[in-house]
Amino acid sequence: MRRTLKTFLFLALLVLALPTHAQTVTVRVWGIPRSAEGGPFERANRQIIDAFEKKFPAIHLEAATGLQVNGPANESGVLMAIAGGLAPDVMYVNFRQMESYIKQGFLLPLDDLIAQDPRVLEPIHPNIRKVLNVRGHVYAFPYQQWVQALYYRKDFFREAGLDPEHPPRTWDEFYTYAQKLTKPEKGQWGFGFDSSPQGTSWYWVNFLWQAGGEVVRELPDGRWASAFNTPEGVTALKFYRKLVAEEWTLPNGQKQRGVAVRATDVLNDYVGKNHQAMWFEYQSNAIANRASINISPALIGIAPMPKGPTGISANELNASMWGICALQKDPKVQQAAWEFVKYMGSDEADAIRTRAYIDAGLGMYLSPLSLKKHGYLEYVTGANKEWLKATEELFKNGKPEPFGENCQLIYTELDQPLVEIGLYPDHDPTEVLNRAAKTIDAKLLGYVEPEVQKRRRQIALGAVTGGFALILGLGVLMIRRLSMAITDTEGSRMAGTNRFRYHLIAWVFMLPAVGSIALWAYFPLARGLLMAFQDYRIAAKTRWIGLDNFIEVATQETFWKGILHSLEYVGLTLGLGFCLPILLALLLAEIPRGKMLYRSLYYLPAVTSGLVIAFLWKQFYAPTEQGLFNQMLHGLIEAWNTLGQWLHLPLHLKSDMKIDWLGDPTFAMLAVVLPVIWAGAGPGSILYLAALKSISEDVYEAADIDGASIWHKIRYITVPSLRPLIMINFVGAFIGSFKAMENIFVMTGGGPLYRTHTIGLEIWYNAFMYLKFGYATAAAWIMGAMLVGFTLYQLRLLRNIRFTANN
Amino acid sequence: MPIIPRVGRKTARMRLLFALMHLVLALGALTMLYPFLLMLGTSITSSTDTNEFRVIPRYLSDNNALFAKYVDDKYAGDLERINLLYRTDFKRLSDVTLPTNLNTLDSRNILHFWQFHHADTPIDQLEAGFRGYGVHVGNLTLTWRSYLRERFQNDIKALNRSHHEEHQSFETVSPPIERLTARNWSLGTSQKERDFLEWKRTLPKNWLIEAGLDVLFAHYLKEEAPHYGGDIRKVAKVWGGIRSFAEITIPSHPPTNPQARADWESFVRRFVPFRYLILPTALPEYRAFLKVRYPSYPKLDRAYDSLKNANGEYDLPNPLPSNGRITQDWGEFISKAVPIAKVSLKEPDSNFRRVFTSEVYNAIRCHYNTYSITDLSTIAKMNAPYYLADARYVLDNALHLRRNYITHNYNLVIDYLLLHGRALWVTILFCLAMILTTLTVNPLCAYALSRYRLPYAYNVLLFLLATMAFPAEVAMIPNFLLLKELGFLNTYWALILPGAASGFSIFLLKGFFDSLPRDLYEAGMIDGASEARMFLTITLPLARPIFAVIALEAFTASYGAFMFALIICQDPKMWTIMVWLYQLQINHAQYINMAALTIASLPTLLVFIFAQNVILRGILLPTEK
Repeated sequence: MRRTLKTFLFLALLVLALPTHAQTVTVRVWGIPRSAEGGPFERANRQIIDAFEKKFPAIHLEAATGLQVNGPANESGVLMAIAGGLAPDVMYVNFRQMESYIKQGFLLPLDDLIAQDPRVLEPIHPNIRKVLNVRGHVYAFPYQQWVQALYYRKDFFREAGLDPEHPPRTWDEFYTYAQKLTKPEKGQWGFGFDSSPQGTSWYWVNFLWQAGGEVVRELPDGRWASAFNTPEGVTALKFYRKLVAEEWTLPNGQKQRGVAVRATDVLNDYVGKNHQAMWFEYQSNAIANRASINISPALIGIAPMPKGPTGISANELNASMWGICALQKDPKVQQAAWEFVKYMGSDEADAIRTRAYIDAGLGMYLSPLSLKKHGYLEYVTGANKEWLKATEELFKNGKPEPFGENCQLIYTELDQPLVEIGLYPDHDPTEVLNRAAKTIDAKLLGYVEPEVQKRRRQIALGAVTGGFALILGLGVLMIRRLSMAITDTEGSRMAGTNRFRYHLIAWVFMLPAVGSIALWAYFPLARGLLMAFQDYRIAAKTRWIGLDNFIEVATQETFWKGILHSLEYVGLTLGLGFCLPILLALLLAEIPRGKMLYRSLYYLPAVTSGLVIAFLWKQFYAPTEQGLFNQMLHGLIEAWNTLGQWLHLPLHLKSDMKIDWLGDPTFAMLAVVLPVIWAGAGPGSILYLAALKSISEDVYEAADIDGASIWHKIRYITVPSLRPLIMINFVGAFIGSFKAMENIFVMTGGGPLYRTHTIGLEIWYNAFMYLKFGYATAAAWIMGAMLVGFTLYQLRLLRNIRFTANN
Repeated sequence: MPIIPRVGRKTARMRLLFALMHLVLALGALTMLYPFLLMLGTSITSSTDTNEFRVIPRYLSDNNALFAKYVDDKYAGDLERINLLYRTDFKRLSDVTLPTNLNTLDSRNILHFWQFHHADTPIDQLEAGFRGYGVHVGNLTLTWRSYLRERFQNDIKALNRSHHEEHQSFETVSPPIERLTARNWSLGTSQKERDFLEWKRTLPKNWLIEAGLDVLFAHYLKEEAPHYGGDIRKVAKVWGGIRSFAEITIPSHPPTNPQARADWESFVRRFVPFRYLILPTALPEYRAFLKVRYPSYPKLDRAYDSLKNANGEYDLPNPLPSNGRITQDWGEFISKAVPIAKVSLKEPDSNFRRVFTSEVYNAIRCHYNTYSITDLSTIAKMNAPYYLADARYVLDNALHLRRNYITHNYNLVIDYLLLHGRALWVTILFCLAMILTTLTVNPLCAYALSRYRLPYAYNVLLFLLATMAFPAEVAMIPNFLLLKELGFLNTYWALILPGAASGFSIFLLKGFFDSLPRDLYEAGMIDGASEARMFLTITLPLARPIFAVIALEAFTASYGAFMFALIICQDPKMWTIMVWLYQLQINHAQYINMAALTIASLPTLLVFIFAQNVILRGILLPTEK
């Protein structure tokens, strides 16, 4: 009887499904796994997706992908996809991204869709539900809820004489435990911070909360301001310093710096390779243990985080959420997207995930609650029951990760004080935090006191009007002088018979170029001028905001840092590298033998593109002892020490020194400049070489007869003849390197501590990562104004110069 | 060489000067060349030796280095497993060396015997090696991809349909994960798993790793058995005369020593894969177990339909399904109900010992024993000669392996680039289109400006040049938005149009056209030649070197451009090689990047080699008027 009913239902469904099946709705989802390979987590998600597609045959899911960006902007892929016109229909959202996405108008309010089925919100933890409500609307739907927990190795605890059933409860305990667990001879560390972008502060915020501090706070008017530069913040920062940089004595009497390692991938390289005893990792409402699965679950303890000095228990709370893109206007797709979003958070999906874990032999790792709910009682063991206890407490103490405007980049900025105190432990923590707070307020949260803003507007109005008038005046003057000068030189006119036709033909020839420049250079220029006065948004409404962009630029620390570093970059590039091609050309011209060979070798860098060279050098700068530059350093130190031994002088240097060339503020800028100089010397010399050949030999012979020395000949014959070329190259190189960014982007992304952040990067990041187009154009205009003098000078040089072919 | 006078070159001072110049130039040339040599050297390494930064990697001449590389590759860098299998204690993968006893008579004989055994091991006890790990893409993945490409005729959609996945190209496809030592793993039934199995049978024997239980059992005694606490001395007391966990062997039947028996039992009940258990006599217990578990029969009926035999009774599940209720119950049965005395193991390690024992036994009995073994009980402490087998293979195939390692990274990159949708075509088309447009738009305009003496010619030129006063960044964002509004994003137009005209090129060209002798044109006009004819017959031949230089510049600029292309063409279908390379370096290892960089420089290198003379002739030099 039941079987017939089932068959009937199935047939009915089939009939219902058939007409819709004919018009499958495709939903593009950002971030679904492409295949079932990968970790158990991806496998489970993939199975949920398969089940969804089976259940809703009329909906087809497509993995939307875009490009990945490394460096500080690695989460901005979806923003760039939206900016680039490839918005996915469903995208992954977490707390720190939510507000920015809403402000940009990317997220569709889900209120109507939730109203269809209000019960979907029930399983969500109240602490998370609070965050979801943004000014009375819900924009994203959580399908998994997460807390950060303290994970530790029970076997390491036992080995160090600690009780594995008593994880550290306070900071003091945490530190002493970490000391006991740090064993340099085994390469083992007590704790670890991830030093990849956004990694350090992601762990550190837990300490900040435990100290009683806060990351950001919402002001009464709905804006956000940073809140970590308080005594509590200082306590947390000092604790961080203690963990990574404080020197202490090991039982064997040796000195040891810190108890926590800082490395780019601590989870894989230290935790996964049994080199780290305690670490922070997520736990979710479904998955009790997310540790890398090659560590036996019996060895892993999971506990609430240690309490801060004031007795506060706190840890990060987060949620994996799906949002529906507001740019997708088709209600059918919206509805289909909602089905998917809802399904991912449903009990059914949880059942599939549970089974996928059990199939993978990982039933142990699941939350006992899910196991019980779906009938897998035999997997509920002592260990995961223990973990569950921790879970409950962690959710209770959970602090939602910062979720204000632009908080998607909060960890990037919050890394800065941590990196600074790690590099320079003697800096004053209060000042370090104050500086960071200022940057974050100005840069991410855009918070300025209203009165200050008003005063700034007045000043800006004056300054900008004056500045524009000046530049415009100068420009007009310059252009008039130029055009007059040029028009004066030649003015012959052909006595044509059919003048109109004559002009027409000329214009047909010229039109592609003139039109192209008008459309692609002048029009965007004019538009950019307008945009600089707007708060330009891609999906939401664009507003006129007067001079606020310029004010923001002028008050933005990173902008001025950018200018300063660009100048430094120009100075270094030209100072170290400008004369090199000239000298090289002289040598190449004078050397009697092997000219062709040398020339080809020096020309090699030009054969590869700039990107290739940047990548190549990035590898040479590797911070490990195997990096080419560190090997060279090692060789130098060895030589120095041998010399010292030889001369019996106390010259000994530590031979295990290694430098993070691109990560150390002292060397970063030079490290970025060197490849440019290296690659530019050879190709640059080719031009000079041609110019040298065009100097008549008679002149030199005459000089020889007069008894001139080599130096005199260079000084009085060669250099003056090269002058026009040198001048042109100099101005070109100046303007070129002032705008440089691609190579820096590849090598350091602007870091460390903004040490290589140039103006070009400031513009690029703001425009394409933060989507602050108005700000970026304003900054570009200011940079243009600074360079305009040089460019006009360049034009003037060109006026007096004629280019001829080299024969 | 006119600055240094021709006279007096033989003097000591001049000789010194020349020597010094040579020295400086040679040193400089070395710094130019060395990075590229390193790039080439590193591009043929893998994770064991990539950090050595040698121009000529060690494995090309050193068998130990080659062996380390092979082992790392085969066992996916799992050093713990390697040490357990080899009974060694290497601290790092790069320390792995060849065994010293490789050439003894015993070794040779045992190895010979083992090879027959290996060939007979059933496929579900063999794991496919060379899988790769982390950022290292293994040969298994590479060959699997090329197999699938052939099978699905390069159609990724066909693969997605058949294997139920969502790939956009073959580059993300990877073989299914085999968890041979997971308890309930079995040969899968999905299309992908069936395809994989069929293909796996065709793999060379040395690719297949025996998934024996010795390693798993050693791991169990070390990490999981609570009463030992990881102490090898305590383990040795029970398991007799061993010095390290690597020496542990698993008996195929329950041992007699009570503690050892307890260890064996709890290991078998909790960890041994179901496939490795044989318990033909346990049927009555199984039926009893089911009766207890399902007191009411009808409920049992449906799930267990497939196990029912003709008499309406239940048989042992064979083969065991990979999941579902039967499997779950089976797990319960194994861990709680089955009498341990009825269980024995059928797995490669103990199997090898069993077969080898009978071989040696026969040899001793018939007096043709070639082994030095006289006491059969030593065989129970022996494990299969994995170390010897791998070493022998490497030494016998050294040449082939070296060749393979040299080309491995390059194969991967070539696969990545060529098969990445259309990267190559996009790049070629983009470069060609760019060269063509710059070579038409700019010279046309310059020619008009130079030949037609328009009264406002210089104003036009100024209009074209004045944009240089503004940095490209000012216009970059509006440019992007303009492209977006015109619907050009993710099209070739977006790559080509904005950069088509360049004021500076026009300026250069006009200067050059101006400098051409006017008499030629006057003569042409007298002969009644049309403007187009004069352009083609007079201007073009003279301007060829300059055109070549402009074309070259357009080529290098468009070939190397990646930043703007990254933004305006985010659709992977429109990515140029450079954008793909940028993506490649994010999630691939350094040595793969080096190979990629080498390949990426080839086109420019070739162009420069062939166009070297043209470049030198086409350089335009500034002179003051």
